[in-house]
Amino acid sequence: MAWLATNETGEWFNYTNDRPKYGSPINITTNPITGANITNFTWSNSTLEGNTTVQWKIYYNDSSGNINETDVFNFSITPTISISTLISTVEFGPLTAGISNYTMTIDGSPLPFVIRNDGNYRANLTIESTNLFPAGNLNPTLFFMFNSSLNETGSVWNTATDLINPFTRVAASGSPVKFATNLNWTDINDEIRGHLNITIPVNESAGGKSAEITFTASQG
Amino acid sequence: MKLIINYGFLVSRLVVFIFSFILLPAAAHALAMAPAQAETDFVPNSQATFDFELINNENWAVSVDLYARGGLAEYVKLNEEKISMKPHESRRIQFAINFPNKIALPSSAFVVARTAARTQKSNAINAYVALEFAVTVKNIGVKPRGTIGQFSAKGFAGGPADIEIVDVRFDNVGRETAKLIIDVKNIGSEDTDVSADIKLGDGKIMRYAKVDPVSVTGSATRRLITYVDVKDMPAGSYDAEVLLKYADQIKKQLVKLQIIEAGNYGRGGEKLYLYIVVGALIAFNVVFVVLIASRSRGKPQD
Repeated sequence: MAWLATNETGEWFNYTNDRPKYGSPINITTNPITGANITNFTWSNSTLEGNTTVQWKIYYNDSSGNINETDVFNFSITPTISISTLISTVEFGPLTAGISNYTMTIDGSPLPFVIRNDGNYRANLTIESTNLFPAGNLNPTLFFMFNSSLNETGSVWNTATDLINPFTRVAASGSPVKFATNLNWTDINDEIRGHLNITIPVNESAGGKSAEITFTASQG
Repeated sequence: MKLIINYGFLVSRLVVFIFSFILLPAAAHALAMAPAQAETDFVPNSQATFDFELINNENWAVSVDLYARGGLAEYVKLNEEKISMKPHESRRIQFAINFPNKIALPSSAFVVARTAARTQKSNAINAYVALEFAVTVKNIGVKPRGTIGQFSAKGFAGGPADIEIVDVRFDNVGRETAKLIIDVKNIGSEDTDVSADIKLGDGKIMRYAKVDPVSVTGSATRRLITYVDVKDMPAGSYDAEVLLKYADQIKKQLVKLQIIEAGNYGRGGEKLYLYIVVGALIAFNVVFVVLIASRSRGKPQD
């Protein structure tokens, strides 16, 4: 019998029959022909933050009943950045020149972007966009604005400094500006909203309008 | 990352565990990058190389644009600017920064991987998501420290072919063989073919490996790969000797490989030990010895 022990919870824990995990414990049976056996413990824990160092060792109960243990070894978790958009399209529908509209979560017409940190480390986000109004009202413009807010409680460290509020002009492509900083990565509080506020310029021609808005994440 | 554990020479049997670490992001449905940061020193007219893992965690294929920005963007060389990734595909992205003679410090370069969010509509504002790999250049140095070019020394281009080892490491270690990766850089401007002979250990325990000639163009970095037999090698520290052969020269470099014994003896003389060939260089003897230099490096003065 062999079992794995790690200190990933903050204290050493043996994964034995009482609380098995990662394929531990494991019974060892010897191949009668080769005299060897190959098996494995597979460690996988997505709740640990990047750059965390985990210590581990293995206990082995030999054929005479003695318990042996290895030295302590360790590995570090590589920080991973990853974001996804839970709401990735905003459609305002028909609007009249000179009229403003903005995203809302109350009546859902339309809903704001929702961005989630799927990595294992806090992330900083920027925003930039192609022009929504190409007829002379290029980004950054008062006709195309954004702000950022929480979609889950505690998704950033400090809402006053990590989010953008009030509405601010959306940056032009190639010149990104801050959208949010220190976006948390733990599952229950890792989402923020990206609200848009647009006003139709009176000099804008009629017809459909579209833009590509890019949220870029970097390691915080 | 995979560690191979040879766990016990019991009296008549060998028991081996493979302990593997699966490091995944907390959730799927996204593009992921790891790592996302690197630092390097500035060496005039040198090249520093970097890489990161890009993972498509979506259940569908995505098209990813790769581009550079930041103060050093014009010096960034990307091998690809647009890639397609299959569902759940992982790909290593490599790029280089070809430093000019002079830059303002500190400085930085960013490589961005950008893809469209799944739903795209016309007459709408559609989201794209992007991830940024940041390279920070803080100091003037002689050793760029990229994720690959960790040991690049002089780094000055020009003159005849001159090969240096940039990095040596083991990867994908198995119970019987270890994959040896040697990154070499031609710090000269002339192209050359490079081969290598590797000797690991000495006395009773000795292993040999070879790398057939590969072409390395001027100022380029190439990867030499071979496999070393590590079967039944007891724990301990081993000297490895790498002979680089190119043009009319042979260069020798010494590196150390650590095989760690981490167990003890059970009753009846059962020997229990952990056998781990780490995937990184343990120590590096930076002294180059030129064994053969039949061609004079300096041109005679007329």
